[in-house]
Parts: sequence; C-alpha cells; structure tokens
Amino acid sequence: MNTLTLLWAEAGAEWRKAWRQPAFAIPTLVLPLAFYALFAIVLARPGGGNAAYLMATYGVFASLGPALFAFGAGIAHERETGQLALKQVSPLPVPVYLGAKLLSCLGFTGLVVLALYALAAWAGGVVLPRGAWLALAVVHLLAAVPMGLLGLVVGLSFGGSAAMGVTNLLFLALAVLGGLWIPVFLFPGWMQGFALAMPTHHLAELSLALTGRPIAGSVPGHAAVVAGFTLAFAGAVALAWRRAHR
Amino acid sequence: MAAPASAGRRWRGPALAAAVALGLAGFFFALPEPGDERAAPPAPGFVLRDARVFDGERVLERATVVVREGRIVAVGPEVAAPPGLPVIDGQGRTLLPGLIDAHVHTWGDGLAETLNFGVTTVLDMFSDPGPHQVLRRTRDSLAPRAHADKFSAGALATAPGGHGTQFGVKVPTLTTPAEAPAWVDARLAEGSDFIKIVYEPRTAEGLGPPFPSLDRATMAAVIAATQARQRLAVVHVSRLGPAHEALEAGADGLVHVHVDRVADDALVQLARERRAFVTPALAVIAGFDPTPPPPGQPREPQRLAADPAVRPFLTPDQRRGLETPPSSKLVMFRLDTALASVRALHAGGVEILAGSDAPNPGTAHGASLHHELELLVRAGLTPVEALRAATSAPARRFGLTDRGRIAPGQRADLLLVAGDPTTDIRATRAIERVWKNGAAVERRRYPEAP
Repeated sequence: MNTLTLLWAEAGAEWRKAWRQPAFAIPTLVLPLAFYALFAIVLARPGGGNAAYLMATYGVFASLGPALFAFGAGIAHERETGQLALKQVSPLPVPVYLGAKLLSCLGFTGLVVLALYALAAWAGGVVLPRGAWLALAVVHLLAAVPMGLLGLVVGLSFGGSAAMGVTNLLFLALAVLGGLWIPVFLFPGWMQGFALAMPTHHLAELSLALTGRPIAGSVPGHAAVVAGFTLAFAGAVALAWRRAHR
Repeated sequence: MAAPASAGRRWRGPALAAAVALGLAGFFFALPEPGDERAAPPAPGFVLRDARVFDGERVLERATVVVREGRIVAVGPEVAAPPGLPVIDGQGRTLLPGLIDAHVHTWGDGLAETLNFGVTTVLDMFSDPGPHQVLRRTRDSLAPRAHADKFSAGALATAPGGHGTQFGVKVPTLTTPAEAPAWVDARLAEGSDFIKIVYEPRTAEGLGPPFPSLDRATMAAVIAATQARQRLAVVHVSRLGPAHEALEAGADGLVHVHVDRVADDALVQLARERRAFVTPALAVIAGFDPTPPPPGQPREPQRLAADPAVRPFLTPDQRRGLETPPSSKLVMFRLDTALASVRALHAGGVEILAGSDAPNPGTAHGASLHHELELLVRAGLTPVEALRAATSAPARRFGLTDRGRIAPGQRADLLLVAGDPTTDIRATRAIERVWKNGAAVERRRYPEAP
C-alpha cells in the first residue's frame, strides 16, 4: 500500500467513525446552520442586507466545530482511552494518522459549507458571481486546515476533560473576538484589537472581500497572516506530538 | 468467483468520486448569480377613488388613482375604475407620493422604521457600503417589500480622523487633491449613488471643530471628480464661511444649513446662481439645540414623541432617543438661527429639500421627516412647498425618475392621510395607509414599556 492509499483508507475510517457517533457529528453540522438560519433569515431585518455578510463569516465559523470539538477534543479522548497507543504500535506513519484526521475535518467542514450556501442562496436571497461562490468555498474549506491544526495542538497537549474546557474557550474566542457572529466594528475599541490576534478574523476578512465588501487591510495581507497562523499551528502540532509521546 | 467482486470494489471508489464531483459541479452551477435574484410578483393593485391628490407638484382636489402591478397607471378626476381591482374610498383624505427623506444614515432596522411612517425612499448621506450593495441590486424591482428604498453616498469624503471616522465604520480617507479621482472611482465601484463630502475647516484664526477636515482644494477636487463622472456631489458644512466655499467649488447641494449665524445675502445669491439646493435638516438641529423650552412646554423632539399620531408607531428606542435631552450645552446648534437662514434661502429662491439626519440624537427614522416638514413650514415654506421638498424635488435633484410623483408609470409608493396636509402640514402624520410598490404596508405599533 502506498502512502496515499493508506491516507485515503485511514481518512475513510475516521469519517466512518465520526458518523457512527451521530450524537456527536450532527450537532457539529447543525450548529452553524441553525445559527445562520436564526440570525440571517428568521430574525433578519427588512432592508438590513446582512445575509451575504453573515454567510461569509459563518462559513468560517463552520470550520470551528469539526476542527475543535470533533478532532481536537476527540484526539484527547483517544489518547486517554489508549486508542492512540494502539495506532502507534501499528505500522502507521504519524503524518498519515494526523493527515487523515485533517482530511476528515475538511470533509465535515465542506458539508456544512455546502449546506450553508444552499440556505443562504435559497432562503436568504444571497446572490454572488459564480467565481465568487467558488473562491469563497475554497477559503471556507481551507479555513479547516489552520483550525484543524489548532484542534490537534489542543488534543495533543491536554487531557480529555481539560481539552474540552480549553476547546470551549478557544471556540468562543475565535467566533466572538474574530467577528464571526457580530461584526468587529461594533465592538468597543479595546476589544477590536483582539480580532487581529484571531486567525478567524483574517479568514472572515478574506471571505468578506470575496463577497465584494470593502475590508480593512488588503487581501494578500490577510492571506499572509492566515498562512503564518497555519505554519505556526503546524509547528505546534509537531512539538505537541513529540512532547506527548516521549 | 472472487474476480467480479474485486473488480466491483475497484470501481466503486472512482465511481463515487465521480458522482460527488458531478453533484458538486451541479450544486455550484445552481447557486444564484447576479441577475438570478428572486423577485416576488408585484401586488395586483387597487383603485383609490375621490381623494384629494397631491401629485408631487400640485393639488388635485378630487381625483381617482389606479395602481396596477406596482405602478400607477392612471390619475385624474375622470378616471374610471377598471373592473377586478379593489376600490378604496378616499373621501376626506389626501393621497401623497411616498415621502423621500433627503438626509439619513441607515443601518440595522433603519429602513423598516422609516417605511413605518410612510417614508418610502431615503437618501443616505453616509453608512456602511456593504449592505447597500446588496439592497441596490433589488432596488429596481416592483416586488412588495417591508423596507424603504435607499440611495446612498456610501463612505464619505473626509480627512484622516475627520468627521465621519468616529462611528466605527471603516472610512477610506484622503488628504490631497491628487487622490480625489481614484477616491471617487473607488466609491462608485463600491456602489455609491452620489458623493458626500465633509468640509469643516478651521478659520484663519484656528477656530473651528476639534477634528481635521479636508482642505479647500481637496474638497473642490472631489466635487470636480464626482461631477466629471456625472454624479452629484453634496457637502456637509456647519458654518457660513465653508458653506460659501463649498458652493463656490460647485457643490450640487449642501446637506445641512450652517448654524453659526444667519445666512447672508452673498450666500443666498451664490446658492441661487449656482442652482444649488440646501437640505437644512432642521429636525437634527432641533434635537441638538440646548436652549431650554419656554416654561411648561416640551422640547421639540419631545413634542414629536408625544404626538398621538406618531407615538404608537415609534419603537421604544426611538421614543427614548426623542425624549433624551441633548448631552452637551456647548453645541452651537440654535433652531431659531437655522430657521432664519432657511427663511432667507427660501425667500431668495434657493431650492430646499426635506431631510431629517435621523437617527442622530433627538431624531427618529421616518417620524422626524414629518417633524422636518412642520419646521420647514415654520421657516416660511407653504405646506405645498414643504411637500414638494419631500417628494418631487429630491427625486428630480437625485435623478430618481420613477418616484416622487403621482403620475402614470411612477412606482406606486403612496401615503394616504386623513385631512389636508396641503393646508395643515401636520396632517401628514395622520397616516391611514402606506403602499410600497403598490402593496399595502402593515404599520407596526409598539406598546409602551411598562
């Protein structure tokens, strides 16, 4: 078996594992959609024009659940129950194990993003050029990479119950301070500074730019910051992996 | 026996992948593009019989109006009601074009609150361009809607740290005349319908507002660049000197009346010669004026909030906004001075537009335009002139060809009021019905907070 086949098989196993715990998978999928339906459609203000704005930011939000809860806190649980040790004694390369987690995380995010677009387009009246829909999908899907890596860092660094607490905190900080629920400019000035430290904020700005919104800063600037966060999280995963298995 | 099974398994993966890829392609192909906006069909229409009609210019004492599929199709004393449409009796009532507020700032619920008072179109003098881009695409449709239409300046032209940058909305600023053409192009690309410029320079003695302003040359360059692109350039001023300079630079209109002193003959003459309009926004000046009212009398905005024709339709936040006294006693806003200036401008032949500057302190979306109409009459406009200032005049000035009048072909944005606002301007508040795009608007009432 070559590495790619192995990765594919392992990702498939991860995917099936997630779906065999529907009580876990379904809330992850439904939460961003329910939030979007509530704030962008049910409670929408006539003439508010926010359905596209919220679609851009909730698309980033879509990656948080799978990345942090399913695969971050999940991996901590796997460590505690000894499943990880079992994997380690099997002839499975580490990058394949982690890569499979990430791939399955991308898959989950992709599902939420597609459902979100369907909701926004046919219930929220969002209209975008074809190219913008596709570019937005790429950004929203790729958002799962830095977020998935961050989830892995948490899962590898903390025990099961501690990981859950840390994950909750990260989840809220990334969503709220990153401006995914409420636009950052509505925050008081001292809070706006925190947004710059949130990768989700830069991902949201990229998404908003793709929907044709004027944004603060430039697209290459935000993309560079996101790339920086991704590299930093990847480095942190490597470190956490080594520390966790010395 | 094993061969077919393994062949089947070998092909299952790629077949699944191909099916998923096809499904994805189909999904993205089905997502709506600009031009695919769903527009609900317009309302079938109605006939309004025997009402007094102010058509945006003049008064028809008794006329019938036929509305079909979002547009007015006939107006006149001898119009016959076509069969099949519901007939409304207009006796004792006056039909007006949906009102236009020529100075607002909208976000959140603003456009819905506006429509609640029969104001069907607003000219937004600065707000976040993002939501506007969305609304702009469906603005021309005749679909029924629960909010007023917006024509917007988007971001305003101001200096770094200048007026307009303090509200949290990102404002791309400029400092030199050379930046003006690119700045204007960027606004038009963002969806601005016209350009608004803030001009608040200090005097030679260093007096003036405590924030930076565009200099005179940059203000003039933005006006020139805007007009070269066939758009309107309007200017925010608060003092007589800068008002004069803005008009000399060719401003199409001033969106405030200055407040530091009464307009002099030179300003009136210049505005008239340049055919510039002035949107005085007296309602916001009344809101900011720190002068205590005569004993036993409410302040102007409080009187509006207490009006039984207005109060039930104000949101609790709007009531609070109108009832809260101004926070600063130091502002130079004096309603009396502003009224005197409007009187001079109007008497001198300068066109006045009605605008409220809602939702600033002391104003409320929709309601304050009715206040503005009353204040314009106090400043010497006749009720009919005031009504023109809130209907046909802003439509003509801002190139809105489908609204502001009651005439065949016009969008059926209409307001039916009890009584006769062409003689008593306060009758505009006695709203009986509102139609947006020919569809009846359900007015929202808000109970008093316990």
